[in-house]
Amino acid sequence: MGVKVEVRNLSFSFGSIKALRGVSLDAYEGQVTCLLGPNGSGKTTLLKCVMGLLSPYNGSIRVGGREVSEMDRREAARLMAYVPQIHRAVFPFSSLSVVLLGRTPWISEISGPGEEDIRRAEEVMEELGISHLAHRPYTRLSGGEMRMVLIARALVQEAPVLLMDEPTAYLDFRYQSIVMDVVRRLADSGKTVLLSLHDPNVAAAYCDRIYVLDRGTVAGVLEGSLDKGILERVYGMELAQGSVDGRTFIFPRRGASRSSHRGGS
Amino acid sequence: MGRRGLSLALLTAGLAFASLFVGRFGIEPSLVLRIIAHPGTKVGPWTYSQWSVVWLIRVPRTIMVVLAGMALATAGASFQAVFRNPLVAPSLLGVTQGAALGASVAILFASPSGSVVQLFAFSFGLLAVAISYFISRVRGTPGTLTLVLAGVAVSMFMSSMVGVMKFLAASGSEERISSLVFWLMGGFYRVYWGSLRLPAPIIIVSVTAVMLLRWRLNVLSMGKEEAESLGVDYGKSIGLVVVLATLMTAATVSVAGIISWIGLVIPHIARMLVGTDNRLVLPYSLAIGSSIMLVSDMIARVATTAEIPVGIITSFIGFPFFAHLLRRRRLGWA
Repeated sequence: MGVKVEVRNLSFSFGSIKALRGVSLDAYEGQVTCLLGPNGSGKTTLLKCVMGLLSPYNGSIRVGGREVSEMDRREAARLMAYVPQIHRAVFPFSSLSVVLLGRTPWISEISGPGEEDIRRAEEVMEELGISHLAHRPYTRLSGGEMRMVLIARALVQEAPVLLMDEPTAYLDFRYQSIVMDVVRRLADSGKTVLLSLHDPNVAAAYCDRIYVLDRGTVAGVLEGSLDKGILERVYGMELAQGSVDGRTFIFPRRGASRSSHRGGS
Repeated sequence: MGRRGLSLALLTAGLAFASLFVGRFGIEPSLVLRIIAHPGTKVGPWTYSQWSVVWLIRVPRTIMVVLAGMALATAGASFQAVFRNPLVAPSLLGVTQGAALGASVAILFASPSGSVVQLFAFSFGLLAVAISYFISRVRGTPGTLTLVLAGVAVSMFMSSMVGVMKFLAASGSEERISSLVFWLMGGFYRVYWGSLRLPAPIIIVSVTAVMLLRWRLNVLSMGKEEAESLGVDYGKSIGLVVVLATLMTAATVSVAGIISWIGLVIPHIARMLVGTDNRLVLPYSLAIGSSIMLVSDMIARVATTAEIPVGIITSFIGFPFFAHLLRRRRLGWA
């Protein structure tokens, strides 16, 4: 059931701005693959390209052996579920209705979700521990709750590949680890997870492979442990490194952002 | 659907039935019933004029009122969903003002006959929306925002063209100008069986089609990227909904003239009753739209000796209601 994501020599431009320049990466089933890098390094663009939301691209993106640009929307949505960074709805749908939207790729164009779909949505919300949100308006949820609802929506989509854009952004410590534990569990259950993160330490703790992106290219691939050198180069600042409970942590030095110039050395 | 839905459906049916008995021309209710039971008998226990008032005027008029109410309310709810904006009305992309221009060209310079005006209004309405669409496409694939802006511009242009028409015709026959003024205020006083021929099938088919797409409307109301990542071809789906909503609006306006507020306000009432889910909002809008249109038309018919344009009645009902909703923040989205 596992589905592999293979990106080869991918380039994408917004007008004259080159957002991705020859990126190659692999994301495997059963693993969490992470995109790490500064703001504007191309993480979101890459995820959107894989989802088929941005086109035309140069290079190749194969998901389960099929080229993304050749899939129709429904086919792509059955293969991949996308969890956006934050999404503001205009109309106050109940959270259950938002989760149900995930069934769309499996429902014929002229009908709505049936009892089976509703049961499935409720099950997933139960699994994620958010049943109590089911009848609350989605527009009134906190950032963390909203994220959980969007993850639930991605799960009822029953796609083998999950693409998540900074699933921990705006979340407090507790929600960060709730969300990342869910992500890990999903990968362990056989899903292919490709996500972007901002915090190198969270990435190191939960992900199998980290692609460090810098200005639209892959600056390095990390497996197992963080590499202070690459991160210092990519973020253009001095970092400190320490060890707690046998795990290595990397964090910014105070005032370090002034001490060096990005890409200067 | 549930009990509330059923009682709403019964209310609508009851109002439609009641509408057959209401009018300046007094006819005993029992006679009305007998005429409806034997529509083929022009003269029987009743006179020819009684028969023609019931069968040639009130029945087709009631049918058109029901169709107009459902069309405008459904179009409004669909537009609000696909444009992700609860303040949008079916006239957004210029269909209403386009139809008004068509009607003024027909009334002032061609023929004021019902079917000619209808055809002009209908085709100019569609033309206006097509122009909005092509303007918004000039720079590649249109976003809905560009489309809305183009629609606003086209609407304003069309309505200034209506002004130009009036100016050019100012020296012409007064009768024609007053007939245009009445057309612009909306009403069902011109309706006879023949006037249903074009709009009825268009409204029935397009409203049915949108009803089938109402889950899709939920998906579209989440925005482009969301809809696409859920497997929906956004451009095609939006286009389809816009075409259907435009057809039903143009068909309605072509017979009934400009009837404001229904398309804007009714979906809000529906949302207050059933929440945001378009699977319920659409059927409820349809029933409430028809009901309010029936009530407005009955008031228009009997309130004074001369008929009041129904557009005036709907404004009188719609505006205070909407102001009240705004003040109470009961719009279901604020």
